[in-house]
Amino acid sequence: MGLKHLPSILRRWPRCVVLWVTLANQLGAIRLSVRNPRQLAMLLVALLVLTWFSISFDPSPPSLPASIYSLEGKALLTLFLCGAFALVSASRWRRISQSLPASWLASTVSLNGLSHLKRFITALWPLVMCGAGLAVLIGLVTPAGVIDPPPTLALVTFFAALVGTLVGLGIHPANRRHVKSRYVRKPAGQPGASANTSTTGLSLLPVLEAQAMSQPANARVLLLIALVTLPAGISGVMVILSLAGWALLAWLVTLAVALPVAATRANQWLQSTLLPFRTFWSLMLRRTLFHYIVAAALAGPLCLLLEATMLEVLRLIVFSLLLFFAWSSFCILSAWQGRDDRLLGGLGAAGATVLEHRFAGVGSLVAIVIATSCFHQGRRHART
Amino acid sequence: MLALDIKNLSAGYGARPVITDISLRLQRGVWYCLLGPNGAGKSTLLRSVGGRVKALAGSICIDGADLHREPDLARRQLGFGISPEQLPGLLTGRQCLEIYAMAQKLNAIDPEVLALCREFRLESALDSFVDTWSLGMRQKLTVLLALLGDPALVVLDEAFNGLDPRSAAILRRELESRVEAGRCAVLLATHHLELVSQAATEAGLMLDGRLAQNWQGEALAALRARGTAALQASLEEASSIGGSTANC
Repeated sequence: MGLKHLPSILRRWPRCVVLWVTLANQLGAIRLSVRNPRQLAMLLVALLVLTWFSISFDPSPPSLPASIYSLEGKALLTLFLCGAFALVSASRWRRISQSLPASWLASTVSLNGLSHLKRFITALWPLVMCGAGLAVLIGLVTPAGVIDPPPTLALVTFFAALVGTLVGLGIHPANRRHVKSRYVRKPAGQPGASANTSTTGLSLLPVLEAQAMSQPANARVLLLIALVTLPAGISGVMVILSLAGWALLAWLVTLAVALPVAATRANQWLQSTLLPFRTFWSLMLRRTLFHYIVAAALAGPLCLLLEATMLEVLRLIVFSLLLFFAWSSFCILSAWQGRDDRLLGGLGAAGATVLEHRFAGVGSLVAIVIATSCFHQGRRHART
Repeated sequence: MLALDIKNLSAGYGARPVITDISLRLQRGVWYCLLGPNGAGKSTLLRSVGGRVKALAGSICIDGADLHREPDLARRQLGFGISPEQLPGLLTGRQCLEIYAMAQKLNAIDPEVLALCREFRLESALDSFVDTWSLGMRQKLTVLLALLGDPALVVLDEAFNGLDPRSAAILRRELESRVEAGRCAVLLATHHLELVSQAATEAGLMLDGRLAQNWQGEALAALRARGTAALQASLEEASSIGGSTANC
């Protein structure tokens, strides 16, 4: 790399610091989530394949510094994705990620037996993670140098994240202030106990889980992120459309995250019953898939308004639906077999996305194969 | 036909066995109390019977159906009381009952279970979310779910924990009436010695993953006659002997 590029690197250092601190945390999450050497090897292979795909098909300019920048960006994105998947599956981090952003401070008040310093750190840690994640998100969606966090903020974030990493504590779910059902709409009651049987509740469970996850506190954080990412000088209609797009995307992601949680919970509960896999799979998938189809019907016109071509929109919708179908089937099968393979499922989804991006139609084909194979495997699998 | 027939069962988590070489036969009309210190393997045995822990060796038959070879037939006759924390918190009590009955392929919830629900005074809370319920309320719901479909074998793990005295008496009466009528066998893991001395027809002591001692008929009657304190002393004596198996 030539010396002429040095000022440019120096100018970007705050963003790099925030990125790397966050990525270190993500790698920590991966380390926590990986339980055996086979899983670690699988993760590393997947990471290498993803990075190779990202780099080898990139028409990068020939110069070395540009290539390094490109490499850094792709590697960071891949690592960030892997870290995010690991974050979901690691138990200690899950406690933190499931805590309510607005209730972090409130919930630490109820943490008995901790010193004031530990309470402070416990409260600070998730906030720092949230801030660092936000900075990374902004960093990833904006070209280099357009938005750089101020150096003071970057320094504070760096040291707080460092301290938090060393001594931070997870907030145990038992110490949360509110029960999850606080954020869920109550079904209409009936007088007395009735003899009816019904499957409605079970098919609602993933949606209820998603509702519990997307609480007002999280919605406020999302709104903040969405507002920050709005480009300057756009019309009011575009602002509303953009915010609606964010809300829709967030709900779909929440549904995808909630589905394995709900499936695991339902399987633990109904394991000793006669419920067959096909019914379980259909009940878990039915309503969430319906949400995805409605979302696709809404997102299509939105994309057309944003000047995408009809072919691109159709391709995106078909692939998104198939990807969700494959992810759901995989997670339901894992839950049915009493395993937690969300990390593997996330990597598979990322791989299918890369494939679809590079070779149109291949990712969709992979998603169909995964979904079909999971369904048949589940039907053959005997729980005992 | 035996409600439960366990032959040389070894089971555990992964390849490590937690319980080894367990054999147990229960007829309908038997209330079997499983005793033992924490970590002895009581819950693992019950979870094996519930098909939740894989058997490493041996077999489990429920009402004549092998749990491994004919899981549907076996599960149709099994009422398994899950632990209260495994209930889905985001569903209401009513939804839990409806779904569980559907999963057991019942056309309707048994009137007896609904009557028990009323007796437990759970009816007014049925439309609230389970995660807002107390331990005792959840415990009652797990018992109601286990009794759905009039199973031949009712398996309960510490089901009397968290119940108020009135509800505990109601549950005991309900189980006793089913057992006395020969409708089912009850397999209950418990630390309540009063239940052993007053309600059980058979009892067993688990130590270090083995069924170290069985009390049946006259042996249990003799223990009962000596009272709870004597039972406690017998248990301590048996525990001190350790894994030496002795069937009385």
